Amino acid sequence: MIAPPRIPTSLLEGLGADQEFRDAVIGDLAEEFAIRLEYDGVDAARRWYYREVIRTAPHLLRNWAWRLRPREVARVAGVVLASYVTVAMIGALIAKIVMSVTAAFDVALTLQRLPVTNPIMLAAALFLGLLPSTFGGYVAARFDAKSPLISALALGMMWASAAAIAGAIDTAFPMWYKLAVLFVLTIGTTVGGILRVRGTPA
Amino acid sequence: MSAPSIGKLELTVLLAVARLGDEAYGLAVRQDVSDRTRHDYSVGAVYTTLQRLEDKGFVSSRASVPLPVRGGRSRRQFKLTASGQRVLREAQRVAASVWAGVGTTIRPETA
Repeated sequence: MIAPPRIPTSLLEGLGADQEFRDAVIGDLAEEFAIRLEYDGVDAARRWYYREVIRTAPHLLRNWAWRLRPREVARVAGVVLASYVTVAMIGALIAKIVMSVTAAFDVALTLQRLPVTNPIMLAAALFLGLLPSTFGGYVAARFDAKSPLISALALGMMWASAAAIAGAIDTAFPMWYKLAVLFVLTIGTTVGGILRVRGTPA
Repeated sequence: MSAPSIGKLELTVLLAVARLGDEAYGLAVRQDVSDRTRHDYSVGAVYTTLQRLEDKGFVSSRASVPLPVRGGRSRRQFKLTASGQRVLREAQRVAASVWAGVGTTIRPETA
């Protein structure tokens, strides 16, 4: 028997809705997928499943939000903080290693001579920025077994807010770069969260 | 204290639960409601409504045995409560009252 697509199912599971509600919804989706598979074929059944997951996700998010209590907010905030500290520490360690290796070949010195607003440098920085944000999203989802995607999204929002404040103060960087940073941070953490829930057994 | 109010979709879903009896679970309710209203409601929308009806005390639910076709998950079967029956009777009375005398004044829809 062909099972429903795994990634969208994992996404629904990661949205932190009440387990009873979530299982009933995902179970119905699986059951209707099996019916459509028989009558409409694999492609049509999969298309229906993806569309239905997109239409259903806001309801699961709403279920999570309705049950939100100060304790839950504090828990997610704790996860976000712990993941941010973890990523910052690992990032600092990697940066130190890279700097010491590149110092031997004068690469760091050459890079420092380039202007910080060079579009190629900025594009490279954005691309490299995807790595820590994706890793951050993964770590946040890893730390939160109850609502992994919510924590990954919360980390992305916190990170993007901090970047927006820093961008408003800093005038050295062009506007397109500041906006792209927000995009990279939120997309990166979301992708990281999805990568984590995708690998978690239901 | 006044009884909780009921919205249009809530009433439609509650009627589907009443109609389906022992077969009232999410998928069957969604199909029934979608067929009758000719509107494709999402699985999430139907469950959110069923959840709201349960919170208001109009339906109760229980989990069935886990089923392989649902990926080992249970069905959540719904049942009309006494309070749900009361609210349906009241809705029927109100509908009959507000529709009284209108029938002859509405012309059939032309194609």
